[in-house]
Formats: sequence, structure tokens, C-alpha cells
Amino acid sequence: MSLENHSAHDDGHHGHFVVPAAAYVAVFIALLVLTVVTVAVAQVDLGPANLPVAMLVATMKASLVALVFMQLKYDDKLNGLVFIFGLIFLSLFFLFTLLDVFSREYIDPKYGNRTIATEQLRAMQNKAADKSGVNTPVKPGGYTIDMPAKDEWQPPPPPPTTPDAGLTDVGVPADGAAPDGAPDPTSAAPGSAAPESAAR
Amino acid sequence: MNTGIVRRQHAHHFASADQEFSASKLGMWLFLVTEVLLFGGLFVGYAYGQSVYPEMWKEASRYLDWKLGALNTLFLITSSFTMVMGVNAAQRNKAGEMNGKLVGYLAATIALAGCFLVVKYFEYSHKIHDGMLPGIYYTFQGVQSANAHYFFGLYFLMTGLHGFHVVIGMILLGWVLVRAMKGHFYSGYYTPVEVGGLYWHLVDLIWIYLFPLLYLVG
Repeated sequence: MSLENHSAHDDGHHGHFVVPAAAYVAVFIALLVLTVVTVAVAQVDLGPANLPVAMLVATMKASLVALVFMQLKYDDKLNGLVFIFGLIFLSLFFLFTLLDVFSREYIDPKYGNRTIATEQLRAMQNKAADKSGVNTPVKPGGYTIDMPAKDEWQPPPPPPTTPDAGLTDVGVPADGAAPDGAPDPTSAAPGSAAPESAAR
Repeated sequence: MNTGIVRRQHAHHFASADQEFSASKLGMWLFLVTEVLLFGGLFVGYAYGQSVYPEMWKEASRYLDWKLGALNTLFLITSSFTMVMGVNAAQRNKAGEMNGKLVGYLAATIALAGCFLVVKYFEYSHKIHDGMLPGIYYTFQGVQSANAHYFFGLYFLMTGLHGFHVVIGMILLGWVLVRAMKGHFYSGYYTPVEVGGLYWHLVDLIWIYLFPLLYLVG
């Protein structure tokens, strides 16, 4: 691609390349063609490849816009570097979110936050322990900390209820006073309640 | 209208006009990176929803009219082209010459942005009528799969934030247009045209991804 060096003026604006308009026209036509391609490809069901193909065409279009229309191809490399660093941080955002989404199937439905991979590892260890004759099988669900499995777990007994000591102050008392925690507007003067609400 | 070329003296804290131009461009690129990260949050939300509810995603996407989306893609790509031709006209504008080309290209860019918003208005009013707005306003019952409000909520958030950027871009380019009509820009000074153009191309760039992601996955 031939570029003309635009330095016709002695005003300190030397060395800026003026991209020939023909390059812009070519990119414009390419963008239109790729738009038609995206729409055409979307009419065909490619199964799981649908989204990757659409993203590939979109990235081709975006590259054309960034490189030629936004002049990253001809520009100071620093601008392109800044943009690429932004994209790297964006990809980190995607990476860790999708790592979470796509690893959820490995979570053991029985043992909660212990993964199926951990259980498989334990089974291998038990097998190895049987072979070696050392009879120290690791309990299922207990790797280093021995926790009961969910179906062995019993809820703690409810606290003893004392009917005359509690529960009456939870509801609205019979005398109509406000429950604990809510200041009673009738008993407290407005001036005394105002600093407390302002401090919140 | 053209009051003649105003020779620009670069600001005193820059060594040269070149340095001033480069610093302005670098500043715009840094801002564009923050814009990419701003939209990035919504794109990550899209990736999450599409991964968790792929069937609902396809079904809900069919309720968007891809023809209107394609028309808007056409408007934005053409506006990016007229923008870059405007920058080209400014770069070639010798001091003392008429810059009617630059004014024409900028006006065309703003007009195409307006066309985009008109199409968006018809799309939005149709979807609001069908009850696809997010949150408590979501009353649409057409999608069989569960959680379709997620897709339409993202649709409104992504296209809404993008549409907001289109409006900002029109204001920005309107200001550039007024200055171009006053004859402020020539080959020695066209920084606002260039930097405004960068912003406008980013708006186009984001739409290039939004169009297939929202309209074409069904």
C-alpha cells in the first residue's frame, strides 16, 4: 500500500501519512461483503460452531476497522499497544468468569464443595493402599479434614424453649408501643431523634 | 460560512504540534480502552447467559428482527466510512482552501447516526409494547424456555449503552462539524476530527460484535 508523506507545511506537522482514499473504499467494500457473509452464514445451522464462526467474521471486520479506519496500522505503535493491553485485561475477565461457568459440572452433588476429581483421586489412593497392604483407606468425603457426608449430617437440636422468658418482645406488644429497635415517635421528642437519623 | 483558515498555535506545554497531536491521540486511545472494559462487563454477562441457557438464548434471539439489525449495521459501517473520508479531507485541506468536503462527510456521518437511532426507536417501541423491558416491566410470555428475561434484559442494556454512545458521538461530531464550518481544520491541525473519528469508529466496532451476538444466534 503506497502512502504519500504529507509534509507540505512548515508548521511542525511532518511525517503524518495520509492514507489514500482508495484504501478506505476497499475496506468499506470488504466490511459490506463480510456483513453479507455473517448474515448468510447465520441462516445455516452449524450447531456448536454457530457462535465461533460469527465471532470470527466479526473479529475480521473489527480488525479492518481498527487497523485501517482507526489507523493502528500506520500509527505510533504505542496506541496499538494500549489497545491490546485493554483487550488482554478484557480476556482475563472472560477467562475467569468462564472457568467458573464451565467447571460447575465437576462439583460433587453429594459432598458439596469437594469436586468429583477429588473423589476420583481418593479412590485411586484407596486402591493403591489396598495393593500395598497398608490398611489405611481414606474415608469417602474426608480428604485431610474428616467431614461427615451430607446424608450423615444431623441438624443440631433446637434450643430449649422457655415460654415465659422470650418471644413476647418479637411481635407488637399489647400496649401498642413500637417494637424494639424502632424509635417511638410519640415518646421521643423530634429534636432528640434527629441527630441519630442524621448520623446514619 | 467559511471564515478562512485559523492558524493554530500548539499549547505551550507541548514541544511541537506533532507532540500535541500524538498526546491527544494517546489520550483518546486510553479512554477507548476504558470504554472497551465498560462494555466488556456486559459482554461477559452475555457469555455467562449464553453458556448457562443456550437453548433459551437461541429461542429468544429469534424475537429480534435481524433485517433491522443488518440495516443498522449498514448505517454504522457507512458512517464509519464517511467519517474516515472526512479525516482524509481534513488532512488534504491546504490552508486557505474551502473544506466543504470535510463538512459534507461530517454531516453525512451525523445523518447516518440519526438513521441508526430512528431504526432503534422503532425496534425499541415494538419490544416495549411486547413487554420485553427488564425487571418488573418484563411481561413477555412468548418464549417457552425459562429465564428469557435475561436475554432481553441484556439486549436492552447492551443496545441501550451503545445507543447512548451513538447520541454522545452525534453531539461530539456536531461540535466538530460547527468548527469545520468555521474553517478551523486544515492539514496542519485536525486533531478534533481525528480524535472524534476514533470515538466514532469504536461505536461502530462495538456494534460489529453486538449485531451477530444479539440478532444472529437464533
